[in-house]
Amino acid sequence: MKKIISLSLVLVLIFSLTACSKKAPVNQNIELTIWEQMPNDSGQNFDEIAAKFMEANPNITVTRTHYETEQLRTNFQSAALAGEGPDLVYGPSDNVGIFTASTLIQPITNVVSEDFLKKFAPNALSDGKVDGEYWELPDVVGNQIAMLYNKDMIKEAPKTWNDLVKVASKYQDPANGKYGFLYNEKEPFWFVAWFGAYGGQVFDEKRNPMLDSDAMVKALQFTSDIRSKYKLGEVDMNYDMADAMFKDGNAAIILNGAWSWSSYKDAGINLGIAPLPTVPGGTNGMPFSSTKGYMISKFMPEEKKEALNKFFEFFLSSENDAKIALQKAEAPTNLKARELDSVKNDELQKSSLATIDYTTPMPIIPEMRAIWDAIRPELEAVISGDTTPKDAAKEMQKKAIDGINTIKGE
Amino acid sequence: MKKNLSSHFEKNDSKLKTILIYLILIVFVIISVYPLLNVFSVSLRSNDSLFLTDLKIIPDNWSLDNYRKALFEKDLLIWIRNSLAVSTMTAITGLTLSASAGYAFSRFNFYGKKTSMMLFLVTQMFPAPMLLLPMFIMITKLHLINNFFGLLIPYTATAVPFTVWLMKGYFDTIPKSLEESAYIDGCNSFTAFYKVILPLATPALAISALFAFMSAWSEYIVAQIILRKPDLITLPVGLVQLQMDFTAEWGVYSAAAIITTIPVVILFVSLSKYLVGGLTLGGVKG
Amino acid sequence: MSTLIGKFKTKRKPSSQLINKSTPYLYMMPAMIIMLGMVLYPFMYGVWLSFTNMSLTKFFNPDFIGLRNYIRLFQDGVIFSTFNRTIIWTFVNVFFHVSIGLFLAILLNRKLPGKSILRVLLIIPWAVPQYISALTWKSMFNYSYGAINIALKTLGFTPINWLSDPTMTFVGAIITNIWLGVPFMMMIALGGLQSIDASLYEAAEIDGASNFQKFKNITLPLLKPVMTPAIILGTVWTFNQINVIILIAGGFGNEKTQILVTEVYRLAFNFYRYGYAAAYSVVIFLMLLVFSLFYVRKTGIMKEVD
Repeated sequence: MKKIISLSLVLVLIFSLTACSKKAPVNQNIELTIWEQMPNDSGQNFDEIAAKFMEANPNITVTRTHYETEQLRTNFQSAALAGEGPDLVYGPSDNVGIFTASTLIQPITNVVSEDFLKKFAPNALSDGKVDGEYWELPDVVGNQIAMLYNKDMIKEAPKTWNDLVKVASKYQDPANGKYGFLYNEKEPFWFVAWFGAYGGQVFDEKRNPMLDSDAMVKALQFTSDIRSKYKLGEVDMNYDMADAMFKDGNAAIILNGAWSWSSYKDAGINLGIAPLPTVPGGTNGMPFSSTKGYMISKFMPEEKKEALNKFFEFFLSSENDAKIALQKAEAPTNLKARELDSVKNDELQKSSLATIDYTTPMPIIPEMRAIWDAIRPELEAVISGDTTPKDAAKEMQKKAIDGINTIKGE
Repeated sequence: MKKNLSSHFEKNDSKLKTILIYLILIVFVIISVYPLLNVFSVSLRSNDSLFLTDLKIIPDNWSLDNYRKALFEKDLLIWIRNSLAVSTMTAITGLTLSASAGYAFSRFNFYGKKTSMMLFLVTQMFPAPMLLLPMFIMITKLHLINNFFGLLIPYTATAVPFTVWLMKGYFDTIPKSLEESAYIDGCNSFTAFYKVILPLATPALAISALFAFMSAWSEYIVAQIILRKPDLITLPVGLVQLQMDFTAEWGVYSAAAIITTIPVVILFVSLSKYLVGGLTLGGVKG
Repeated sequence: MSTLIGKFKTKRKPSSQLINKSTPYLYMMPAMIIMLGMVLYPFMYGVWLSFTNMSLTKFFNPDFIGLRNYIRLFQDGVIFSTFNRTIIWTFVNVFFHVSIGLFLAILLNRKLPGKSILRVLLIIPWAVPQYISALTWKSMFNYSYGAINIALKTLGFTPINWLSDPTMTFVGAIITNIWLGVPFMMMIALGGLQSIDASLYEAAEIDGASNFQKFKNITLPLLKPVMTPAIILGTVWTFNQINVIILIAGGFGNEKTQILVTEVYRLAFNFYRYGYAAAYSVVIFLMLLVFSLFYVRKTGIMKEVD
């Protein structure tokens, strides 16, 4: 038996020793591999641009592998430990913090010139900035939540919460599956909009969480009031249901992100888009916005630099950036793309611009994960009446600090 | 009349008892099938919600459009082909390995037997999330990324511990005198195993095959990290892609889920013949 | 070693010369090699990891920190409540998997017209990929629109807040997992029942045994060799079940719905505490190992072939 074990040990060892180092391509044929988390239609859009790019550059192949958000992150980490993985990662900027902390990516200025960066909106670029370096080359900015209303039911977008209650209440009839106002109240990404409306900020300058605040108590109270006091919304409402109700014309107003807007137009909804209303005793709902873009693996071989430059120039040209941005109603980061008629005259782009002012950039530091995890259970408990907003805020802060310590390894 | 009845039912059962048994079974069948009916209902709808706002299984304006989309606009057929290939390979490899190892455990006493038997169980105990990373590193070094063999090995390793024990347990119920007479007839150990014992173990073989097949058929986590090329991905990976973040097409997804269960049902129906085979075989009497 | 190949050796049949010391190993080796090849390195890697501080900032260059992860683990009070919940989770699940599975198998093992159709329908929960069914169950647990609350209301009960009340969410996850696991146990039991000789029951009947006596004295003992490994592995799998809980609870947010293995997942992949998560895994591993050794000894399934 011992022999068998040692034999298998040897086998395993042989397996692990036969690792070949990555061979540099002998011919000039260069393959750029990219892992992304684009929605299906954006992927097809990407493929169209990639086809043109490969036609113009016959010696470069672009290979795209799709993952969903969480899987992209963990697979990229696993691959890096195995000493391999893609050259590029495409996704939202909140991965930048994690990937820089674990040194998986390199600054984009290692590949592209400072001059090239001047083409892009500075605030979009700074979304991927950590320790004075740029780690992400963004192609779109947005991802913000807005108030969506069915123009066949609501003539004019309500500016304040009280206005909204007035127009929405007429349609609220849960017994018959009709709603005046719906959103997935349990999702922290939506909740932070109310938190922001009361002036709440997630972190102070020293990256300490600030969840136990007056703003948090008010925001929690307001969230709970939406159903109990204003009689809007619905128990257990989630993304999928609110989405379907709105598409079927059974909900007059919902809150949803830029990525979803075109799907409502396609579904034939007479769609109105406006900033979130002002809340009682606060300002407009302030959801998070963020960029999406390319990050460069630290294992990207040196000889691919030139090809990579060509790739960026092509994919982030004003035309192509506009093509990508138009599809998901997000703003292009290429400044020239913003001046194109196709962008300027696009209805959804206009809405995007009109709502982007009422957003806060989402923090990209890894600590953010602890914030999300701290908010969710307490938010649920407040909504179901199991705890008070005050206690919940205290508990959130405690959990956030615990979580951050865990992430930091303390 | 009575004779006729007793050939269909247990001979001592009263009518009431028979009815009661049917009632119980039907209640369980409803519980077991209802969630799938739910999925089926979603697949006939167009509004892309996983929720049914009414309880009708067949909605008023039902259509098969989601099935058309799943089959022809998505790569469902390619995923099914890949999954069939991987799962069949897993079933065959798993069956071969576990039948022979199970036989060793049932029929022989040898040094290290208990430890080996425990080892098979022990391999299942370490939480899978923490095995994933080193396993991935290993498969990378073996150059089995984007290769079905990169799945076959971990899948077989997942299925085998159980099937080895299952086969061993079943072989134990087959009398040893059968091999002894086979030896007299001139069989060697292998032919006795292959020609005499194995055919008697069809129920266990059928369950083992089903188990190995199923563990490969619905596995997602390993598959998504090892297969990267769109034309190689398996069904679960493809299904998750259909159900992405915020833009899920639940209708198409549900249609795909329904289509996914069909091969398994076919497999099961064809295996159930062997499952009851043990009863009809003569000469097993202890 | 003298007991090797036991009976066959004494028979001295010409062909039995082909059975020698290496025969059992030849039968066993292929499976063993695959198992060890696949599991040994990852396992040792995990154990090594548990003695390091591999984390987000120590991703490529973790330090060896000895037993610190283990010490922290037992200082962390949450592990005990999570442990209790894991035991409840595992016990309730396995209990119902086995009892319902066995019950259905016994019914299906009778002569019943149409039972092959019933059998196929009863296996459906196994045939659908796990997370499809888990997501479906989650939608069925919805407060206003879920089938379960609608059914409860129709029967005159008050609807339950499945997804907002963590305790009920956990119960919901258990219900889902029971549903998922019954067909497997049913199949195993059915296979085992096939191996029981019908003449045993006939003989017992002649002796005037009651149904319960037949079940207790014939069915159960003869099912043991087949059911025991299924129960051990069923316990191990349930103990380490992640998908159902995460899908029904919608993530790791609420600690009142978590079990030990979801904590491992959360620590490793949400908080990047690979070293600490590995220590958790080793502890889980040891718990399961002790349980299995105990169970194997108690049922004596290893003894009978010695």
